[in-house]
Amino acid sequence: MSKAVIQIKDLKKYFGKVKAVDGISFDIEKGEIFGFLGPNGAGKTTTIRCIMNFLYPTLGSISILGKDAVKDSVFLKSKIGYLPGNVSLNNNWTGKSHIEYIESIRGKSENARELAKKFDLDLSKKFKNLSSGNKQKLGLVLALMSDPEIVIMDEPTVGLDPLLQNLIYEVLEDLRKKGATILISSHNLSEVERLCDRVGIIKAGKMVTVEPVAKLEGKKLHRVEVRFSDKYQKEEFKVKGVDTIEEITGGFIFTVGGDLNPLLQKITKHKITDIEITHANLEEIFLKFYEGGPK
Amino acid sequence: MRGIFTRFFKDKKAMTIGFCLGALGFIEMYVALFPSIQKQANELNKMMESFPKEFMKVFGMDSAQLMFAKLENYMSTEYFSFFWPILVTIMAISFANAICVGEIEKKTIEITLAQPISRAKILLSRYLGGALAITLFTVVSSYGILGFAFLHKIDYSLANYATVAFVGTLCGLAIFSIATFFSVLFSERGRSTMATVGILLLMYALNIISGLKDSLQNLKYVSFFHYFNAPEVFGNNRIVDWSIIVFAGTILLFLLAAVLRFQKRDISV
Repeated sequence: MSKAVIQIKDLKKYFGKVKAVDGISFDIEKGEIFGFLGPNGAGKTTTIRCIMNFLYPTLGSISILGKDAVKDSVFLKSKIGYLPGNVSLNNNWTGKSHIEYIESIRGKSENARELAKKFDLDLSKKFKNLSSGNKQKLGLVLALMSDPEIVIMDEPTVGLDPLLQNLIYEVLEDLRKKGATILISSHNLSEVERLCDRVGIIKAGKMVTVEPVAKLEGKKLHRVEVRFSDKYQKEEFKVKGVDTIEEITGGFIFTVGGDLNPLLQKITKHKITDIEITHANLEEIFLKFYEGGPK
Repeated sequence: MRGIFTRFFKDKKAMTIGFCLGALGFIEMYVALFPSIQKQANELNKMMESFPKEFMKVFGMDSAQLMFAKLENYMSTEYFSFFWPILVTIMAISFANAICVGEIEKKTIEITLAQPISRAKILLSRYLGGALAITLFTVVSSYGILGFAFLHKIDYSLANYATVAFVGTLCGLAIFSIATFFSVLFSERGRSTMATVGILLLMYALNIISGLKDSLQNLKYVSFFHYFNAPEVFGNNRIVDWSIIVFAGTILLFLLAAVLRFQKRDISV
């Protein structure tokens, strides 16, 4: 039996001729943090808005906790805490008014005030008078105040200072420990690397890959930095598996997808002064997908 | 539902109070002037009688009603035929825009849409909050005349106030329903406002045109300004035929259309 909490099958969302999301499928399992990665305009937010039933899918299906995201949207929203990208709330309401408003719909919250205290958030201030960091904190309180089983966050740390980013990471890690299922969209690779169990990379509305973060980091791409003491030609290193070649003083930085041996055979024909082979970081993997390199 | 209704009404409280006070200020000005105008009623009436009959017909006036013999006749022309409809229209459009299109523009709608409540209930709760504010405004801006008449010791016809408050509320809610429909139809406040204003201007024009030629007289039946004919409703305490059905029908039809559209539309901020 599948443990999937969120199942997306062949989701398409078109706006006229624009294919914002064009047939993506992925599952998110219970208790995992799933990172939804892609640059602006790739279709991350559109997918999230379809999950939240703000947008109706053109084709395909979204199932959450075994229920249909469109037909059972009201029930499902009682299980979901949602943090929109660039939190926009009512300027003239205080934090307290916002909490009371949500409580008037969801019922009394056990932990809203505690969360605000933890985030050092002054609930008596009007939203318009809060700093961008505090606005985000309030958005976070509203998303988490009803102890949701599923948390969906659209770029939760965008524009925030490192301290606040860390606070959000701690909150997400706490939620994971409690068993919540979390979907975060991001183009902040280091946060995805730090938090997520699996990552889905979306490019121009299509899912390029869905992989465990560890697998993406470890298996698919190597970074080879090498310096020579003899003469060399860039062309001789254009062998199978080499995705990019960056010239540096006295050598190159290669990114290699797959088998390293063809490149190493070429390298060892030269006098090497220094060599470093590392697993590529997520950013390099990400760029590989976006530069249309081999997959 | 109650939370959304209460919050919406609370958010509109300041504007409602402002409009009520504004209306009361104008009422006081008009009512205070009435005794001196009444003294000149004969001269004014003679002047009116010198106007072409067609002109008087086009604007739905007749000399008997312009005699200013009664406070209600005077206020129906000076206040309810022009100033009051503008106020109630501004209010209705402003509140309707706050239901959906304004929240889309301000990007604040997601916080409500993310909650476990159906879109129909969100819309109806806000609509009821706005409807209550419009009803309060209509009652205050109608019965307010009575208060100032009492203050200035001017005779009044009590029954006329209930009639104008009742028909005025229906008219205001009909405009509110149309504006609500456009608020959920469009994603820009400007377009939503222009659509409602355009329809009202068209109704106003059709009501005038219907008075120009006998062959065009049926056009008046598609105009709210025929059904909320202030000299008839307030001056003569008469509810124009079909007006309750037309206003109630418009309210229900446009509200239903708004609910259906709001449930089915994509909302992207």
